[in-house]
Amino acid sequence: MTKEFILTVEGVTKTFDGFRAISDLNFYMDVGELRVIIGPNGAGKTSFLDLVTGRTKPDIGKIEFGKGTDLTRLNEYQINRLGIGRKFQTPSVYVDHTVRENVLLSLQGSRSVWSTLFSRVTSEQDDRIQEVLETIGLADKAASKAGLLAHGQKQWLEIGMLLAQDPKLLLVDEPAAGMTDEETAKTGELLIRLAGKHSIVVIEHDMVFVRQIARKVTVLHQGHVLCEGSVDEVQNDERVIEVYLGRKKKEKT
Amino acid sequence: MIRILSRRETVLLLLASAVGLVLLPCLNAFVPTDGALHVSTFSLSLYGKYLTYAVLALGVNLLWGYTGLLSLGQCLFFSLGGYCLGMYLMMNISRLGQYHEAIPDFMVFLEFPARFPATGGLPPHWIPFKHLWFAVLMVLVVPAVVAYVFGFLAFRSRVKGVYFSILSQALTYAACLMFFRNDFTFGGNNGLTDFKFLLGTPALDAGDIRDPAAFAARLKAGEGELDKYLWTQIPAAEQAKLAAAADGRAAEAALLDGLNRVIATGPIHETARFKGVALSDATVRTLAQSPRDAAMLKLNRRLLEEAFPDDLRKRSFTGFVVNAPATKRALYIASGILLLLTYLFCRWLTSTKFGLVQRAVRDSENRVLFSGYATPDFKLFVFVVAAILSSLGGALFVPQVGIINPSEMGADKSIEAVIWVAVGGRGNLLGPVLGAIGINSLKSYATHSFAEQWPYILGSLFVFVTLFMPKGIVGLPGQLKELQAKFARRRTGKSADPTAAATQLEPARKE
Repeated sequence: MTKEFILTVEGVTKTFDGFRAISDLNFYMDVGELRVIIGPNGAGKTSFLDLVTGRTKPDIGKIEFGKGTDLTRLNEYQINRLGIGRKFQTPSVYVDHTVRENVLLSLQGSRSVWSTLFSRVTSEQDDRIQEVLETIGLADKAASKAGLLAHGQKQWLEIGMLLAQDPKLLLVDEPAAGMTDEETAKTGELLIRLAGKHSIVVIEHDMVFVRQIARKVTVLHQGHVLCEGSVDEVQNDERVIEVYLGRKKKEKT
Repeated sequence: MIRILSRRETVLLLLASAVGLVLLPCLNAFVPTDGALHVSTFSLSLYGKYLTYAVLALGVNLLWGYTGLLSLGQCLFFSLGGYCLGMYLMMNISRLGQYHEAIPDFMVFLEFPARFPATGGLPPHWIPFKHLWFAVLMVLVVPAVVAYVFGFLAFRSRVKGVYFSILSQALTYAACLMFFRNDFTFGGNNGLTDFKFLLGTPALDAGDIRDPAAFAARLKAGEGELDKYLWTQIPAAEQAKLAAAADGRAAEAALLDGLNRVIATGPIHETARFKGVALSDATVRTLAQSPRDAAMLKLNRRLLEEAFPDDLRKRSFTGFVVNAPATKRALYIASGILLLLTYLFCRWLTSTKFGLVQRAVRDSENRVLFSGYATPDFKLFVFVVAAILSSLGGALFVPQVGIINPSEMGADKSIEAVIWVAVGGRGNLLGPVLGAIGINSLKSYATHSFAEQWPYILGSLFVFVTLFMPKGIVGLPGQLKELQAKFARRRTGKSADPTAAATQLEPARKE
């Protein structure tokens, strides 16, 4: 009997104008896992998220969600409705809406045009919004416009918007980017708390942050998995040092 | 239930309705023409035109201001609505055209009878437009279908931003070129004009003559002066048709054709002809005015009814004359009501969760898409709704202006509509209405005072507003307040607002 993965990526290749962004990628993730993906610039991290969330389609290969749901045939919103949430690298929140409205739009429920025309906010939904806002620490900002939030708060709001959907799989692209150390640490705590309940993929550059949250790290290089393991294993891997950490050290000197 | 209208807005709407829907029409109807407060029918009709433009502007705003879709082709839908209603009006000219034919004049000189012999020259798709209900249905359906097909293709293939704008511009331009063609059957570059009646016509209709065969025989016998006159006026072709008619229906049709031509060609009254006919007081009064055109046709019909009370059915209502002051007033009021309803509809729509999604699409479409909303469906829905609103505006525009031609769907017109919205202020509902009414008032004034310079004035206005008033006229009070606060701060030497600084410090990052 095979083990059940939340995400199965097998033999995936994606080429953009002759450039192999993803090359024969294999990636398996357990239910409830918190996985960190690292890799130098251009390693294909964001392309990988694009493939999983339906923004681009693989040239060849298999991408499956849970028990055999083929993601390569679905588009962005259909994939989202299966329970896959994505946070973008740049915080993308609805700047003209209040924080509360941002979360409201992300709550689970029907997404059809018709339902949005005649739906009313129920008290359960209100409670859920409050719960999410407390989780991300923005309860006191509920009525202010999202555009007026500080950068870190916007990042949290976007994570909160994902939580409101109660996704099975969360894909988070560089959540700590542009944050202060304190904000970064808080973000780390938030992600650790969410792991287990949700399966989470985090893409990150910041090694301090990776160390804080990571249990298992996947290193991508030239669109391919270079190695997988704990932070220590990965950091001591010869190949990783060569392509990523090593080069980084050289840059510093 | 959530209150959709704020208190201030309710007061504002009531006030605007009182002035626009009650006061102005009353000043037109009840103040004598030489009175200082009199509003001329011409002015009222002009205001009515502005109101229909305001409806169009609300459609543009729903797309651009609320959904971020800059449509540069919204006048296409405005014109389609205009054409649909225009076709109804053309079908009810009742032979008052130059040729006194049953079909509109342009069909006569474009030789349509040779092209569509089975229908006497009328293209088959024109036939149902004789009925108002059908025309109104088409005012709703035609733009909706065009918008649906175009929107479906554009949004499915993720056409966005400036590409969408260019495509929409191309669409209206292509339609404009198509409508310019004579063989497209919509009047070519002259378009549709010379409207006469609304909601009915004085022309004799099937059933109006109680016994067509007997009546034809009576006219042919020519015992009375009038009988003789009418019979001799019926063209030989119709007389031949009448003689050759195989059944009662064909005979009735031929007789109706003949008589309708007679009463549309000129005044039928002459003292000798109507000797012994007891004319009603009202008819005598109308006779004294020797009316022309549409009013003449109405009089002729009444004269016939009074001369042949046993043969003709009396009809108390014979339609409204499009150019009559009362009709113009009613059309103006209808435009005002349409604008009010459109405003309320937009207010409702933007206050629902749909409205939230709409603005979310404008601000961060990817986030909406990756939150499980099928953004193409939402955009398609707004696009179709905006098309229908614009079309309704166009439908009321046409009878007030008296003409619709392809230049209404020209590329420049749609851009002008965008300028109204930009100047008034997009993303709210008051701005587009103010912009449409304001700029068009200015245009009416400018085009007869300095017509040559108008495009430059309009262009500079647009550039100025884009550069210095991003929120338009509606945003001006807020801008002034901000400016005042800035000066005040400068005087007290305090630094800028910290929350504003926080939002600006956000690092620019690559996607």
